[in-house]
Amino acid sequence: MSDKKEILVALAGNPNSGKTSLFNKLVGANQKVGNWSGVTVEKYEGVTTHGGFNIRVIDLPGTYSLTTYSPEEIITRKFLVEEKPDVVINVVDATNLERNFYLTTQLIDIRANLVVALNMFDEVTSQKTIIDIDQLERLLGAHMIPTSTVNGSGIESLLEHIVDLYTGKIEVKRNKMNFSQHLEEYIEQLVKVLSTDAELCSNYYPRWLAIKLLVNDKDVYKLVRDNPVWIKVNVILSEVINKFNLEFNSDPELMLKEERHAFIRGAIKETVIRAPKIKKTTTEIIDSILINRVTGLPIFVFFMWAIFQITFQLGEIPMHWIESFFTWLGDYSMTVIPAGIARSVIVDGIIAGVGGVIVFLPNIMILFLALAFLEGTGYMARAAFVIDKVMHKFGLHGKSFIPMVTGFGCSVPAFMTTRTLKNRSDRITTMLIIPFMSCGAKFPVYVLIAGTFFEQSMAGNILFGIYLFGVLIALISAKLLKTVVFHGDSEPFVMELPPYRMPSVNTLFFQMWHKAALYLKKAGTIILFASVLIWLASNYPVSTDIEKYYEDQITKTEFNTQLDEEAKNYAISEFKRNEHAEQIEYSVVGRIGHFIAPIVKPLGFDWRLGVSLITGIAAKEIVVSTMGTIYSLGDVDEHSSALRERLLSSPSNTKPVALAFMVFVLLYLPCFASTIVFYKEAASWKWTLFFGLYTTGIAWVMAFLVYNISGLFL
Amino acid sequence: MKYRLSNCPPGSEVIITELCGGTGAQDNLKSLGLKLGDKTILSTDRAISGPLNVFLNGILISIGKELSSKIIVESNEEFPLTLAQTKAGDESEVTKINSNGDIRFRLLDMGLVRGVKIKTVRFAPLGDPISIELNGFNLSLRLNEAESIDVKMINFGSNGAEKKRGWWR
Ligand SMILES: Nc1nc2c(ncn2[C@@H]2O[C@H](COP(=O)(O)OP(=O)(O)OP(=O)(O)O)[C@@H](O)[C@H]2O)c(=O)[nH]1
Repeated sequence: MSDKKEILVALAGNPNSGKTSLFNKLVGANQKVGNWSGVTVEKYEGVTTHGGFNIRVIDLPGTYSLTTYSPEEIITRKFLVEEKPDVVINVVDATNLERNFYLTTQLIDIRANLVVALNMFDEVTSQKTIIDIDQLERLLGAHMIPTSTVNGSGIESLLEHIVDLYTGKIEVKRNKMNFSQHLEEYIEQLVKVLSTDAELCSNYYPRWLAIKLLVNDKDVYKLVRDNPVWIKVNVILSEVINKFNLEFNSDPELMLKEERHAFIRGAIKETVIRAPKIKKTTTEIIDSILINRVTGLPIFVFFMWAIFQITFQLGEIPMHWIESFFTWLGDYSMTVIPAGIARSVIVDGIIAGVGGVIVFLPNIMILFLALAFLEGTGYMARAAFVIDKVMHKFGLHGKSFIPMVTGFGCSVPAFMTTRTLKNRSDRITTMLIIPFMSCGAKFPVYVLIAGTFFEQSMAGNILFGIYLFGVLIALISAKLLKTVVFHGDSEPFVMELPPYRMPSVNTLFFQMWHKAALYLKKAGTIILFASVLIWLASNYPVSTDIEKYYEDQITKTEFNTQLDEEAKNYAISEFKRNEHAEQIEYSVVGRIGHFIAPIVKPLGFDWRLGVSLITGIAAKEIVVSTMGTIYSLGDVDEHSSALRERLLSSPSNTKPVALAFMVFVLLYLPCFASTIVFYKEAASWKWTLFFGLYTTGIAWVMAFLVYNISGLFL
Repeated sequence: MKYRLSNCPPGSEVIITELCGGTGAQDNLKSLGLKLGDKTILSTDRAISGPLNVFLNGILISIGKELSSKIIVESNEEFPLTLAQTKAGDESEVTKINSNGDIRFRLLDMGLVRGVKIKTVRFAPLGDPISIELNGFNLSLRLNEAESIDVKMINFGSNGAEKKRGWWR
């Protein structure tokens, strides 16, 4: 394979043009997913062979244009302009050429070696649309090949064209799009000036630079500004802006865009004949049910509920398998590895840690399969359409809804779903408020505390109240962050509502698998590392004094002839539990617990609650079991009556403390795994730090208020 | 130029050319004494969102906002009209984009340029955003974004005819 020549091919196209499907058709399972450096946009890459060549295909993010409006556009443009792939395949939805060709004309501007795939051609045929492809090729100046990923037609021909273009067997059709006289005049002037800079022109096509300067493109401005030609360029630019303003009451940017659209409209008028539309389209019919004024909201709520249920209810089953498997693996290792530090590191640290990483996989896979389905069918954009008004009230975007709902299950996949938000401030805000949507792992804590300190009849209301309180804090935070931190910057809601289509099973599973792979690769290793660290911190250092004291006590008990067997066993296990409790107090975590005691004192928490909060950073599931350990009870769960009694018997634990504790657990730093995923998704230490401080800060303030205010009544 | 009465500015002089809406609305309009060809002058003291006060053949009457959108009128003057003021089913043509920055960029790239024809498809269940059709595809925008798009009317949708088409529409 390695001696073959490699052709670098990039796929570019509008969202929903079928780019992903075509990519899968081209490279099959021979693909891998990564991230574009620095940003959390997925990068798909695959390899195929044809005519003795290795063809490396990069699936660029879907974009409508080559401006620098979104990260997707920046990546696409950077790759095309700077990496200069050997061939660029522009995937267009042939049932919607007017919009899709806008990007095509821009690809022509950068002088890409272009082949246009007229995708969805099966639909073109069934709609009885006639496209004069030869004439279209002449007008636009690019090879065009009808393709369909549904019946596989055109794929071979596409590969053929790639190779032929590369080997020079066929030429790239070049036909620059001509603008009106006024514009061309200035483009020419700019090109002339720019051409004097040899270095700039060896990297960029001057005509493209000229056009981009006329549309006020920030990046190209920066690029040219540092060069000596800038002085002359600037003169021309100010002249053209002045002139257009005076003569046409317009600006070059507007004129260029209008003319671009007009050119496309003209080309299509000349080459496309559509059958008259008599019936309503399927999409119109489905829309009239799914998003109409009466049923739109209930259907939306149903879909969200369904996704949540299958992700977390169905996901529970494989999660149990995973948990039992790792428990079994741990037990088994106990029998084969000799006792000692190494064993406890492997069993309690590493095996438990790996289990803690893998256990999120079922949720992630099911959720992203479901979301890929909604996305692929076209409902996702409608979901945002239906709920946007509510979200927008709090400064958020309609697309923030799904991450927030997912947050009720688990923050880890919720952070990952925020990738659908294109605007950075929308995305960061949504991520910051996700932990306030109380996740599933916090539930046992509420059950324990509410069940212990309040009567049966009140406990339910308190649980509900806690969830509601979380949502309230989330929405207020969103509004606050949006206005104070981001100064109201938000993504315009100019969004396509694509026609409904049935996604292919292949594509869905690929997407699911890619998400799982990304999670394991990007977050898994750090989560594993961190959980081993936390385990170490809660078990070390070991106090030999405590160890020795209890050893002596146990030996004494064993030789105590006055006790029968049962009493001995009971006493011994009591000693062991006490030892465990004292050791955890002696460990790093216990010390931190004591250290933070003054900080949590105003909230009414004693050091024991402090320690359980510290271990709760590892995972919220651990809060209850830590309480068990620290109150010398051994293994307990939230229904343990022994633990409830111990909690109640401590005089400092009152109802206001209980409420404050639940509020604190609701709001403070979520588990380590999700913090890592937050870091990976935000790709910024600063935001991760802010995230930790903000959540914990809010938690402290709210718990303080709840403790003091409820203290007046309870 | 034709407009919905609800979109006419205070003080304008218009002539009624069409009454649309279901039979219920039609009856309502007739009971107000409205007839085709009637000359109407909009009172200048119009409340922002309240009912419309109009002088119909010299007599002052008050018409609810919803009902007044079902009266199509003609005027010699040109009134400003934005996409946000259209109703589901209306067809219009873009005359100007007034927004700046990112939104303008985005609107222009999506094909919302002068001269393009738009059909207002529907409003979201909560009334905002709206969904429009242009160049054969569907686009959604928030009302405040639609407000920055000046349009002129081409065709009035069969507004109010929902009853005939069934409750689900
Ligand atoms: N009828 C038909 N449908 C297709 C064809 N290609 C893709 N589709 C469907 O169109 C929808 C969108 O396809 P994707 O491959 O996800 O589109 P994309 O361009 O990658 O979209 P993004 O992932 O949003 O960028 C899916 O439901 C596909 O099954 C085709 O050739 N014919």
